[in-house]
Amino acid sequence: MTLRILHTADWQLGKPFHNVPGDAGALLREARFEAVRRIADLAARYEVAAVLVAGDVFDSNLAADRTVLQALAAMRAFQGPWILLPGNHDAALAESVWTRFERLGCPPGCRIARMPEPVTLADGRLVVLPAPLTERHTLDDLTAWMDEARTPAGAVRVGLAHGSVAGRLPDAADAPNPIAADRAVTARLDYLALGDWHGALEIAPRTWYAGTPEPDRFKDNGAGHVLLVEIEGPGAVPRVTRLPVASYVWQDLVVDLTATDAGDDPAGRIDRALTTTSRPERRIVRLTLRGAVDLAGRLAVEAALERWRGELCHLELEDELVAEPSERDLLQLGDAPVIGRAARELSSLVRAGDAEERTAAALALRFLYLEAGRLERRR
Amino acid sequence: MRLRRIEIANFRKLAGPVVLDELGPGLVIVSGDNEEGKSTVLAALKAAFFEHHTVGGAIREAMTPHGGGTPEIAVEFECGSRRYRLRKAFRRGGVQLECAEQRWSDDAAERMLQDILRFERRQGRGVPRPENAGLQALFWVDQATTFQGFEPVAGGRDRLASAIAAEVGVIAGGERAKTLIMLVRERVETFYTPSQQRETGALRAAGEQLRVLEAEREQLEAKRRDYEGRVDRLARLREERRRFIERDDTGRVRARLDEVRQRLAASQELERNAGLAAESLKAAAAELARHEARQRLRRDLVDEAGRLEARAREIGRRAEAAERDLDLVRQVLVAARGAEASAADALARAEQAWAGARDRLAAARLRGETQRLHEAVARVRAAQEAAGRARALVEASPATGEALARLHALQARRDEARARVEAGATRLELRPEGERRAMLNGEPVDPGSALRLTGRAELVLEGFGRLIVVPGGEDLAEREQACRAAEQALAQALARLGAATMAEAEIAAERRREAEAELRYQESAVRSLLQAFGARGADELVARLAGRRTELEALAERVPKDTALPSEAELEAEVRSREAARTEAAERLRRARTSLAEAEARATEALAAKARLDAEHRAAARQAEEVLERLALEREQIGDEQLAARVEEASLRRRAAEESHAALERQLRGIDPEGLRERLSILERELAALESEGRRFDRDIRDLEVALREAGADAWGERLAELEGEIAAAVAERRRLELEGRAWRLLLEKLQAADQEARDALVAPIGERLRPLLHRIFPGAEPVLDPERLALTHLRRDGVVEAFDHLSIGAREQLAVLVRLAFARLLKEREGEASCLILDDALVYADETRFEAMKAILQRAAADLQIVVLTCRPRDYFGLEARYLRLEDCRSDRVGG
Repeated sequence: MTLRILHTADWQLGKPFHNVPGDAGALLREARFEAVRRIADLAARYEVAAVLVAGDVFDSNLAADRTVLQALAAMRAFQGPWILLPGNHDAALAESVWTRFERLGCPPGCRIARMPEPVTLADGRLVVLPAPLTERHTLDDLTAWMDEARTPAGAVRVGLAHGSVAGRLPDAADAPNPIAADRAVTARLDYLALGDWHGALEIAPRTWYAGTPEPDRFKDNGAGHVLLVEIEGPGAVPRVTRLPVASYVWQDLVVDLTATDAGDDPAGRIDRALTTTSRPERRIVRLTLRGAVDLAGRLAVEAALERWRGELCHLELEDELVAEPSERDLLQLGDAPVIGRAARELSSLVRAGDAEERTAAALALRFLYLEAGRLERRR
Repeated sequence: MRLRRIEIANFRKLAGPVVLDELGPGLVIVSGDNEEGKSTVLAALKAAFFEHHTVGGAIREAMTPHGGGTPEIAVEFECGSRRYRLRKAFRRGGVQLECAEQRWSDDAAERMLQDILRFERRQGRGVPRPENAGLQALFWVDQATTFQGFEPVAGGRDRLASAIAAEVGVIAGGERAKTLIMLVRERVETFYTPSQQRETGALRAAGEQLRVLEAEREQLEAKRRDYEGRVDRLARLREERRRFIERDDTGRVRARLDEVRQRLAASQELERNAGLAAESLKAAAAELARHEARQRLRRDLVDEAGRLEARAREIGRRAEAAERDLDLVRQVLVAARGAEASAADALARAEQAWAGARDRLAAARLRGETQRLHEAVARVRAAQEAAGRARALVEASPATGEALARLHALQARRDEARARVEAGATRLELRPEGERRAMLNGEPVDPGSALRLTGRAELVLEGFGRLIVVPGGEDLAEREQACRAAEQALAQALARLGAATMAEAEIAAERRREAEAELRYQESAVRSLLQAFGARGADELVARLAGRRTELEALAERVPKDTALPSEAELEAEVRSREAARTEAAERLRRARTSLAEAEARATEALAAKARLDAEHRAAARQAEEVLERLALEREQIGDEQLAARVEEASLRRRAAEESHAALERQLRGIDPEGLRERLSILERELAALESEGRRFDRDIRDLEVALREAGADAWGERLAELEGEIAAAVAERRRLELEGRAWRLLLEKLQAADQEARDALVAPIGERLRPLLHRIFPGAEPVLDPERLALTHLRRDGVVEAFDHLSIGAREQLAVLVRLAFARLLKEREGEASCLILDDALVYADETRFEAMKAILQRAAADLQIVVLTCRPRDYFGLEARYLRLEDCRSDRVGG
């Protein structure tokens, strides 16, 4: 009979989302619990033998009791077994979020893998070998013990760990908590369920990172899934299926507004870049604006951005756009030579000042354009 | 604009027609005395050009001369390239304007004038304002106003401004730029204080918010560090406890403790045995010591008995020698007693003789003093009696000095009263014929004597009848009454003194004074006597006499009263002689007694020595007997040989005990029970410490667990994480606001700089034309012009900026003329023509040098500008190339010829 497990990791419940202020941040925090609810529902639907959470269930060992209680509530739809592994964010310290998790009412179907010792499940058909972190960082490979771990014959051996597989992850050369890339082989594992890398990633047919179920950064690495792992028996190659559970989409866009022909409308180009099929209120967008526009164009861009800010869940702007007054702008400023002279002075600063001066001068120019235009309209 | 000809009639004081003709293009000097009407010429010009010909009210009245009539002015002038002729009589239909091509009248003429001279017609009856005269308000300067601050206004300023704009090609920012600058400044002030030194508003609030958040983060970070420190400590403690339990130090110490306790129990048994051996040794040693002591005592007694017997014999010999010494001393004592008795007799005799001599001397002295006291008492008594008599006289006489003085005063008052009565009396002298008689108040009167009547009198004259006389004077009766009262008072006073007359009273007073003198004399005599004897009163003197007499009586037993005595000096010499003899006898007695005392002392000493030696001899004999008795008793109890045998036995027993004890001690030293006890004590303490350590681990771990559980219960950890976000947002917000503030400030700076540049450009053309003129009067000075008002506001000299209003009147006047010349030059150059300049009594405050310089400037300016100077001092302007006109010469009977 096929053994089915759900592999997930890096829930990071209680993550504050510093870069997303206000209501949007609150929505993103709530979305992580929603993802757990969906995982519980999936576990119940697929009648899995266990849900293995490969570390970083909580964002911090200092997570509030309320966060712990919300997590327990979100997991309720699946009676278990849940195997929760302490990761680097929630290491099993002398006093940790796990000691509070137990005090606040760890349900019977929920097991915290605080010790590197085999956990037998599914009437002995499945043995989980966990490698919990008891400190945030270690230079030892905590999965080494799995090589020597004895399990009953006929049981599926599944390793559960949190760390970096050496040489297989970008930017992870000196990363702590190392895991040998061939651990599944040396420890005769049928499957090695990993956590720490936030995207779903296959390291080897028997070694996978599940990734975070709810994306939390502008990195297009396949986050937002849970892995359904199906194993026919000891020695069989597992079948791994990505099941989407995410609520929000994170997008990183770059738009160059430099006019290529006279009819180019900067605001229109922004609209085109931001318009997609997904629901805007479920999108977190980082928009980098480049190129140069005149002051009128700049005003139009700002109006468009203001509109998008209202529609999107969150819009983060990287403003590298240069605004310079055109002849048309100067005409708009009216016939007062004082204003024209000031505008020219500011323009020259935008072109030739130091970085700080350029930024201030560009903004001053926009202010001048706005205020002078307002006065002109009043006449 | 240039004036050519002016005719004035019926205008204020210029009633008769005045014609100023052939006014040249350059300088025109119009002179006239004070009150002659120079200023009226200027007023007439202004009226002709700028007042409507139908003007009424106060303005019209102000033009009309005293004698009445219609004010009329005719002016020929050039403007542009045209020559105009204006005739204005201030009545309806009284205005005509014409040039070569055209002619206008009434309102059309007035409108044409407005167009030519570009001014606004004054509306209604308002006071004329500068703009109602266009540029001429600037160039036609009334008397005594030259030095006032001025600025071109309204139409005038606009024309100057447009002339400048035509030259510099820019125009001022205008209202829009000003409004924009104001708006931007308002925006800047939402970020920075007006001085732009400090942040304000949202920018400051953002900074404060950031500081609050950072402070909260710091607090929570500290809490986190503490929390993590405790978590680490808990882990360490748990590890330590685990290792502690693993090592089982407590069990190890307990085992060692049991072993030591067993060894200690064995050593204690040995100790008890050693103790018993020590006791046995002590008992054997004590017995030996007792026997040896008895042996020593016996030897001591034999020795003591021999010594005591020898001593008794020696003392016996010394007692015999003392007996012989005592006899000799007794003989010396008898001789000394005899000598002392004879010396005592001699002293008694000498003292008796000395006492007799002293008695006699005392008796002689007492007799003398008694006699003197007796005499003094008698004299005091006599004086006291005389004083008593005198006092009685004084006390009996009332005629005191004061009483006599009062008497004299009363007498004088009476005499005065009498004199006043006499002065008012009527004197009658009767000269009867024949023997005729007269009766006064029923009493016959002597006709030969005169009568003095002081009261009403009835005189019966024989042969005549009654004659009633009433003396004159209104107060005669009062005077008489006063006189009687005075007499009565005098009589009463005399009666009180017991005198009938004043003479008697005088005698009585004299007697009293004599008695008072006697009394004082006798009292003085008594005081002198008492003072001589040092007595306080006569009674004391009498008592002292009685005392001396008693002493004399007492002395009579030793010195009979009738004994004749030598003089006191002789007696005193005898006393001294007897006293010396007595002293000598006393000294001899003292020496005899000293010798006796010494002899007695020696006798006593010898006797005592003898007695002491006897006693010692007896005691020594007794002690020897006692010692021999004790020795006999000892030997009776135990014989000498038996005692020696017991000593030998005891000695053997002690040696055996010593050996047994030493053997046990050696065994104990091998075991070291003290060391075992110390070891036991150390192990017990070690065990207690280890048990305590175990309990401490449990307690510390429990405490830390509780503390961590409590510390982790609230949401501060997440709050800390949230804070990072809030701080990042606050930093971003602050950066955004800083950038905005900086941008607004930059915009303001640029706008202000551009505005200033435009302003500077605006005043440049005026400055350019003013500077050469200015430097001739104020070398090196720089004008500061307000571009808004086109007015000279300051003068900069040697780096010092002086306000126009703060300059002297003379300097202001000169500057005002120069600025007008510069304006005129600008207009001439830009528009081809300037208004003529009319100065009414200007430059009156200039000193000679400046005046000359100003004249030269005016002369040069007149080359292309008509300048009309109205002055009362035409000679000041002599030498100029000008048309000179005397107002007096301009009076004419014709108007508008």
